[in-house]
Amino acid sequence: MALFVLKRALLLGLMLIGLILIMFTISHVAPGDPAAVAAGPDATREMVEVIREEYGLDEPLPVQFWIYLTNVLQGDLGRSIRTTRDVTHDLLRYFPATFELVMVAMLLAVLIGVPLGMLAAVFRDRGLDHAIRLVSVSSVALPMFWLGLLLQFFISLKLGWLPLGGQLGLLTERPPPITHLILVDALLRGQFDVFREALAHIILPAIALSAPALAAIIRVNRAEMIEVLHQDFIVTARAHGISQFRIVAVYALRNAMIPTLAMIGLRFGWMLGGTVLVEGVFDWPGIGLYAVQSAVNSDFQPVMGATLLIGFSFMLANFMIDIAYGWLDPRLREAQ
Amino acid sequence: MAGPAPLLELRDYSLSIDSFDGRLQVLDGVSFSIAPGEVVGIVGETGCGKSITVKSVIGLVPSPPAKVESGTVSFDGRDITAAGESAIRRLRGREVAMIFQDPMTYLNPLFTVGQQLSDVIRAKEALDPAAAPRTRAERRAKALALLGQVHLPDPERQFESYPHQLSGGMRQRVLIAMALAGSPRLLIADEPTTALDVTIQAQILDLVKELVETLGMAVIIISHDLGVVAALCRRILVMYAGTIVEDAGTADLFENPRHPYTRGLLAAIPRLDGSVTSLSGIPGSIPNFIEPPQGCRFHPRCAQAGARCGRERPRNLEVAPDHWTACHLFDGGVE
Repeated sequence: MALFVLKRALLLGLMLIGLILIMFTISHVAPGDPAAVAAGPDATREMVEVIREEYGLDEPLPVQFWIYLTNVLQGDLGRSIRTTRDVTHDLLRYFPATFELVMVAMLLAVLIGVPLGMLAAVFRDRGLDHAIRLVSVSSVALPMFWLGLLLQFFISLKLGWLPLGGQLGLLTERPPPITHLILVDALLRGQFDVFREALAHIILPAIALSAPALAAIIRVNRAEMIEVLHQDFIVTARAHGISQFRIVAVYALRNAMIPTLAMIGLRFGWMLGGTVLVEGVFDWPGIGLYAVQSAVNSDFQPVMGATLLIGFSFMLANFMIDIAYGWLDPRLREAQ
Repeated sequence: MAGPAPLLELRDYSLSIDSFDGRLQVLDGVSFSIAPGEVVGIVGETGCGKSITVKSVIGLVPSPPAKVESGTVSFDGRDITAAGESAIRRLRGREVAMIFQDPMTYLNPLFTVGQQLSDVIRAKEALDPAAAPRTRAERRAKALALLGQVHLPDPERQFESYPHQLSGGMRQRVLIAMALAGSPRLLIADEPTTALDVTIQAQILDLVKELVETLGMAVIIISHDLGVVAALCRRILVMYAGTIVEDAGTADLFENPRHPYTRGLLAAIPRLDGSVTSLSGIPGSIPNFIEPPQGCRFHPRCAQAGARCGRERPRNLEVAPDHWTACHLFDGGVE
């Protein structure tokens, strides 16, 4: 198992360098002269050249890539022209909010989706299955920003149960950072009222963000469970008097989780992308909003930094899912 | 039949299964009984209803789509025809155990042999109110003892192995160990050697024979291979298209087969002393179960069939001591 993890980790490193290379290439074939943008509309030719030199934009491409790569690996993602701060500083400020939102949304999708998929398979073609299908079909059919607006309208405005947007109330102070994740920090600092407030704020955006993943997880898990429940080893378990609950929740689920995990890994990527929309609706101070605002201002370094971070998170999520595969399936552990 | 009270008894048991094309009349008036400690074989072509018979008896055929049309099943004097899931589960866990055809697919690939065997042991003890719950270590010891009993080499190591690390013969031994975990009174072996290499087949048959002799449980062996059944069983039931056509002692059946179908089956066994040309099959194939033939289900393929065979269902008749057959030839003729 250790070898399996090590190999996956090495692969992760290679993929990171590949990702950086792709980012670098895209930024250099994209139209527009970043030095000119950085210098501003009134800059003279000389000023543009000074900036070009300062950022190393006059060097040959491989040298530029080497500079970029070493900078990135040292955590230097350049400077945002719009905010005039280091991109790393900005990302550190905005990314934890997005990460927190995605994790809660994924947790919701998995914790609700997997049991619903299981139940749908067990009660296949009966009432409960149809009811669950209604949930999954409507979850994919509603665009997330529309679902977000509906939730705001009914739950926040009409019923007043949960706040409209933001990460915390305007007057509430963030807990002193440890992990930069508000929910975790509030718990670690013992500020339970802040924790409750943060939780109330995160529920609606997390529901909106989790809807498409929830639908996908329900459907994949249902299909896999149905297939696994028809396998011969299930007959063995039944023939030896093992309880129906154990057969479904342990014997079959573990087998069905392998394809379901693949779907969860893919959905991480979709979710990180989807935050752009949900953060807009819920005024969530995350990386999606930051990236969009940078992009419309032709502010390249933050866009690249944000893309790199999102890409890396996606890779990291799939790395962890690979490890989970190995843990679930002894055959995969050996094949590596 | 005289003798001890039967352990398992089916009376006029008929079963149908709803399918996409219509309702399949899978079993039609099946009657037989198994005495405690008796070793009985059920033979017939693939698809004749051998497996379905025993699987439906122990509740392994989902219902719906399956439906008991008529008849009763009793185990140890208790009527279990309409027993609920929990009662059937108790029966499966404690008193009846089953081993299956293909050891490759009947073990869960993601759990070790030890985990699966310990789980079965725990399930069986949970179903037995008299059994004191064991500790994990005791369960492990019991599992290792069972693996030893089925002569699995190096049980300590195989306990930690996953099914894919074992050969087919070893997996079948593991499945047999699971079946023995609850000290069953009836063991059902559904084509236990069909998926194995010939040399391994012989080893598994030896094991089953040894267990039958030492443990004294009743065994039903289902096979399409008369050789396998003859080697192990004292009595053989011949099944055709969901009906029992003949029921006799093994030696008696081989020497004096009565039913035309049984004679056809025996003639289809290749013999070392005969030439290849003497090998004969039975013309035709298993009938459609949606609209099975009227009267005797075998009559469309039977060389000796007469007008009565297509009209009237043959009665099950004792043609010699303990030798029963359902054929008009022995019940007043076919015309």
